Parts: sequence; structure tokens; C-alpha cells
Amino acid sequence: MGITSKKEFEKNDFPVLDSYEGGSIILTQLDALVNWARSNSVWPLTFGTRCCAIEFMAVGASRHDMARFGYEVARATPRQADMIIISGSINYKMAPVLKRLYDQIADPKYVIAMGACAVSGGPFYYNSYSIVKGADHVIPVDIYVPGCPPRPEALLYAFLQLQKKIKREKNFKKQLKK
Amino acid sequence: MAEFSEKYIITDEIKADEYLVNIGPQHPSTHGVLRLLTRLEGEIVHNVEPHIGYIHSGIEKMTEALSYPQIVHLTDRMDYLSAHMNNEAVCLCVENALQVEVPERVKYIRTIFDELQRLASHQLWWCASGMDLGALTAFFYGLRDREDILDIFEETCGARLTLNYSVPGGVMFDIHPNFQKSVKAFITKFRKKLPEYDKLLTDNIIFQNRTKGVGVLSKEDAIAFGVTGPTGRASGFSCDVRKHHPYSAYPYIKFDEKLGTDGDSFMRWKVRMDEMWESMNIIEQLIDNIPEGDFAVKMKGVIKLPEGEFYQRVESARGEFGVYIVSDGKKNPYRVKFRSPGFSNLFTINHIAKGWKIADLVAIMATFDLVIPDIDR
Amino acid sequence: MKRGREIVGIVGKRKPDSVCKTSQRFDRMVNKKNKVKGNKDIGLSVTSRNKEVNLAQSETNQAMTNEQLIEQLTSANPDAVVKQGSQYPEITVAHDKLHAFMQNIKSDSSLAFDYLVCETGVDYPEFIQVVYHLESTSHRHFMVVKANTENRETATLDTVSDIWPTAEFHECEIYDLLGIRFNNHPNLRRYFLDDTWGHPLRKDFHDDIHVVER
Ligand code: SF4
Repeated sequence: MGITSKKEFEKNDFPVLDSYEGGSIILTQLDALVNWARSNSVWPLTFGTRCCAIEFMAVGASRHDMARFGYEVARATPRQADMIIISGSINYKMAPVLKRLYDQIADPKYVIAMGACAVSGGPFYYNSYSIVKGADHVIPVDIYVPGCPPRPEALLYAFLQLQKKIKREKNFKKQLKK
Repeated sequence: MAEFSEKYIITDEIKADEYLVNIGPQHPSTHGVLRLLTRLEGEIVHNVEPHIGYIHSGIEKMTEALSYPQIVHLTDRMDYLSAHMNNEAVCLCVENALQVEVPERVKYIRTIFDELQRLASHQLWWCASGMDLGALTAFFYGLRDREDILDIFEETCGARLTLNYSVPGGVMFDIHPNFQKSVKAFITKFRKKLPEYDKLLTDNIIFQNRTKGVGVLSKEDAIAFGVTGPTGRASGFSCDVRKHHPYSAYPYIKFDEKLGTDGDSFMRWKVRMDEMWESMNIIEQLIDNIPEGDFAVKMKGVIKLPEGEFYQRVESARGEFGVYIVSDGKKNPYRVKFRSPGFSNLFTINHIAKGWKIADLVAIMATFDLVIPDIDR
Repeated sequence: MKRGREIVGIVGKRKPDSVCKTSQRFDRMVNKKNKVKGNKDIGLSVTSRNKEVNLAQSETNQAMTNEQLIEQLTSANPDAVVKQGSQYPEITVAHDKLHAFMQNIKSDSSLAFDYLVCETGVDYPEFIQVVYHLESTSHRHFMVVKANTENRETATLDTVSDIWPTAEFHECEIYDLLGIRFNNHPNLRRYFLDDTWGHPLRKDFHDDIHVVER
């Protein structure tokens, strides 16, 4: 077996070079290995403000079961979590709290804005005096999931998109260049 | 058995050996973004001050710029677990003000949806409060069975959570041809499942020891604090709006108002479990008799209420939900107030949690079944 | 499961025996009823006992009609204004007589309005109105009481939180959103917003920063 083509390399993160009895040799980049590990173990924070939180719970429960994709359990403290799912609207009283929670998460951290409220203010965009018009006014958002509330499948799709995004990250190249 | 330490009840000034602990706004046991400022001595709660407003969205102000059919769709964003009851309250209020009589079919459909929604809400309460008390299995059991109800909702009106099914004058679409069949299938299934719930928690000795006698709310206090719903009924306060001011199809059916005696956490739990049986009985009485006819009456394109004030109360899954509309004859209301059950229920917490341990505070919170956007609006 | 309940019998000592015994008969009744319906009765006593008592009570205490209710109220308070043709009996009380009036309708046994359903405020051009929805749990009649503040600028009213404890929290909400100060209130604070905000439910509230108007 020779070195696989570039196309094949992109398809599988880890092309198998050769197989022996008792093991095989894998050739890959350090980036790919780290991202593979990271993207398959992203633990969300239990953070829910409004109705979307119920759909988030449904995703965590038996039928939809987000643990299939490596989003194993929701942690109650930001120090053990890797990502926030902003499920519901954020108002001006809550915004500093959200910012503090985000700051407490260890890097690398990711944010999914779930539902119209977190994306843009949703049903509370017009005439509401206390809702922040989109959670991205407070913290940076990686993935936006529209819907009021989004279906569990939509959130699962967002999880997959986030994994794709994590896999594209370059952690080491930059440092080597420097 | 949790111990109630009466000698520790001291209210006013902070003593040297007291300290303040802040629970929330982001805490799993507060079921949302509620903040409880507790004053403790050791583990014993001396004072709880609820701080709300972390999800206040000014719905009452927003309604002043909206027309009545639009308001209906905002209401299920308040108490999203009893979305259909909230929708129905506004619709009934508008219909009463205009003196529109809706077809019988609509009444039956609305009532069945009410009870299905109540079942779904109590299931979610069951799994969330089981989780609060340390039983993670409850979370998976409850949400597994809840999905069946959501499927029924989805079949008929396309939404799982925020239904938007009621509109002034009727319901938005007719029920799905499979509706009756799937509701009946669900009830047969759930009648077998509910004893499982009891086996897991209600009959569980650890669970009983954590809840029995904890956080007693007397009947007089329940009335004085305006505590309604299963929480108030557990204290013996007969406050079921379905019974005392029947609306929709409730006058046609027979059902028991489940009243508790001791008003402790276990009784609040028990009343909700019994209400699930009762809801299924109600649905079974109605499901075969849905009359033929229209699913809505034709309303005017622009609905204008006559000048005046209108109040409508319905029984949501958490208690008495009220809509108060002040109209000045235009197509927008002058002022709308939503009387939410959670708001009144929440503020008894200081009254009944004093003197208990902080772990009992969680048990009390769990059996109150709070939904925070319902409190904050 | 039977074993579980036996153990509870030993440990669950908090429940006085007398209660269990008196409710046994009713428990049995409920059990029978439930068995017919295919229900399974579990645990202790959610009985229909209380309900029977309550029903009996409400039957003996014949509810007054709305006309009788208004007649009794106006004879006691001649300067109160009664509105005709509204959904519920509706009475407007002068702001300085409010507290005495409320005290009276709660303690009078033929009225006995012991349950404050809802308290809210409405902003009108000249005054702010506070609306009380009251119900009597023994007679089951329902009434609306209104009180106007003197003007909009220094809007004050007496608190009723010493009569109905739930009013304490409703009044905080009204203070927050409409800016009515309640005299003698034990702990008047803003629930939803902080002091940098105006009172949003007033009609002249404008906020160009936070509100996108349509
Ligand atoms: S997007 Fe809709 S469902 Fe989600 S939190 Fe906002 S209002 Fe609720």
C-alpha cells in the first residue's frame, strides 16, 4: 500500500497505511488527530432560558439521544463544559451572566445559538424593551439554528456541523510557521 | 427523614454566623433562570429571597402594538408547557367579549388538547423533579413517554411545543383523521406506563423520606398567598377553575378534583400523579364523542373588541391562568395583563422553606413545578 | 411494592395515626371507584373527603347574586362608584378609603373575599388605576375593585399586602412596571428592571436604545 491520494485523505481522517497482525500503521497530521478527539467529545453546558430548553432536553433524552455524536452529557458547571447551547432569549439583565459563563469555560469553546430568540430576538424583536436582539451581541456564536423552537433533528444537524467546523481547525501549523 | 428545626427560624438582621449563598440564575435545580438568594446557617435555610427578571421579555407591553390573533401566538412563549391552555385563554376572552359561540366540535377538540397538554406537562415535571432529587432514570422515562404525546400534536397541528392551535373563533385546522386512533393508542399505552412511574419514585422509600412532611403549606396560607393548581390543591384549597368556572367542554364531563390533605412536598407530588389518571379519564370520555361540524366560525378580518374590560380564567398545568384585557374599541388592546400561576406560587417559597435544610429547598422547588418565563413574562 | 409500603409505615412517623384512620373509609371508596375505572391507587391519602366537605359548605352558604352583592357594598360605602353592564360586579373606591374598604370586604363573613386572584395596574391619561380581582373561596363570588391614584406624577396608593400576603409581590411588579409607590409596603423593590430604567408599561415610555418599534 502506498500513500493514499489527497481525496481519500480528506474523506477519512486517518488513512490506514498497512496492516499487520496485532496492529496497523496510521499516518496522519497532528491537527487531524487532535481535532478528531476534540470533535467527538464536546460536552454542553446545561443552560436553558426559554422554551427551546425543553427541546434541548428532548435532544438529550431517549428518542433523540445526543450522546450518539459525542455530546455525551450536559454539565451543570461551565468549568467542565466545552460549549454553550443558548436555548432561548437573553435579556439585558441576563446578558452579563451569559458573558461570565462564557468566560469561565476553558478554551477551546464553542457556541450554538438555538432558536429564533438566540439568533435575532425572534418573536421579541419588535417592541420588546428588554430582550437582546440576538445572542451574538453578547458572545461570539459558531452555529445558528433557526426555528421557534427548532426541531430536535435541526439541533442534531447543528451538532454535526459543529463537528465539521472543529475538524477544520488548524492548531499547530501557525505555531510552526512562527 | 428530614428534620425541621423550628428553633432556628430567625428572620431579620444577618447574624455573625450566617452567610449568604446565591443559587442561580444558571442552576439546574431552579428550572430556568431564577435566582434564589438564601441566607443560611450551616445547612439550615433562614431566608430565601427570590430574584426574578432574568428572562423578562415585556410581553404585556408588546401586546399593546399587536392585534388579537397575533397576541395568541405570543402567549405560548410564556408558559410553554401549557401552551395550549394559554392560547385558549386569550381565544375565550376574545370570544366572550364579542359574544361569539364556537361550535361544539371546537369545544371538544380544545378540551382534549388541554388534557393532553396537561399530561405532557406533568410528565416533564415528573422527570425534571425526579432529576432534581437525584433520580436520573426518571429523566429518560418521562421524556420517552412524552414524545408520544408530541407526536399526536405534531400530526394534527404541525408543532411539538408551541402549538398555536387555537385561534379566536375555533381552531386553526381540523384534527387529523388519525387523531382519535392515536390518542386512544396512547392512553392504552400510558395506562400501563404510569404504574412504572410510581414503582420508580412514588413507592421509593428514599424518595418518600425526602419529601414527606417537608415544606408544609397550610390551606389558609395557600389561599392567602393565592397558590393555585396542583400545588394549592395539595393543601386542600379547592381552586380548580375547570370545576368552579367551567369553560369549553368541561361542563359536559364528570371528573374529580384531586384534593390533598397535608400540603407537604409528597402530597404535591401525589396530587400531580393522580391528576394524570384524571386527565386520561377526561380524554376517554370525550374522544369518542367529538361531534361533527365546523372547526371554526368565520370571524371578521380585523377583530375589534367593544370598549370595556374582560377577564378570562382557565386552569393551566400550573394553576389558574388569567387574561385581563382592557379594550378601547380599537384593533389593538389598551392593556393586557396575564395573571400567571407561577408568579403567585413562587413567592411562598420563603414562607415554607424557612428552617429546612438546603437539600430540602431543592425538594420543595421540585414539587412546585415552576416555569420561569411564566413568572417573568 | 407492598414491602415498600410496610417499611414506610415504620419510618414515615410524621403522619399522625388519627388522620390515616379517619381517611381509611374514604380511601377504600376511592380505591373501589378507581378499580372500576381501571386506575391503580398508590401511596397514601389523596381523598375526596375534603371535596365533600367543601361542596357541603358551598351548598349551605348560598352564593349571593351580583345584584345583592353590589347592594350590600353600596349601602355600606355610599360614595363608591358602581359600573353597570360589565362582566363582573365592579366598584371603584376613592384612594384614601381603599384600605378600610378592603379590610371590610375580607373580614365581613357574608362577603369573605379571601382570595386575591390578580392585582394589576392600567395607565390612563390623568391617573393610574389599580385593579383588584377578588374571589371568595367559601361563597364563590367574584368581584372587581378599582382604585385610582390622584395623579400620574406622584402616584401613590395604600398597600393591601397586610390583608392578602400575595399582594406584596404583585405590588412590587406594579411598582416596577408602572411606577406606583405603595405606602406601608414592607419591601418595595424592582423585580424585573433596575433603577436606570423608566416604567415601561406607562404609555409615555420611550426607549430608542433598546426598543425597535414597528
Ligand atoms: S425561539 Fe421560540 S421556542 Fe425558542 S426560546 Fe425563543 S420563543 Fe421560545
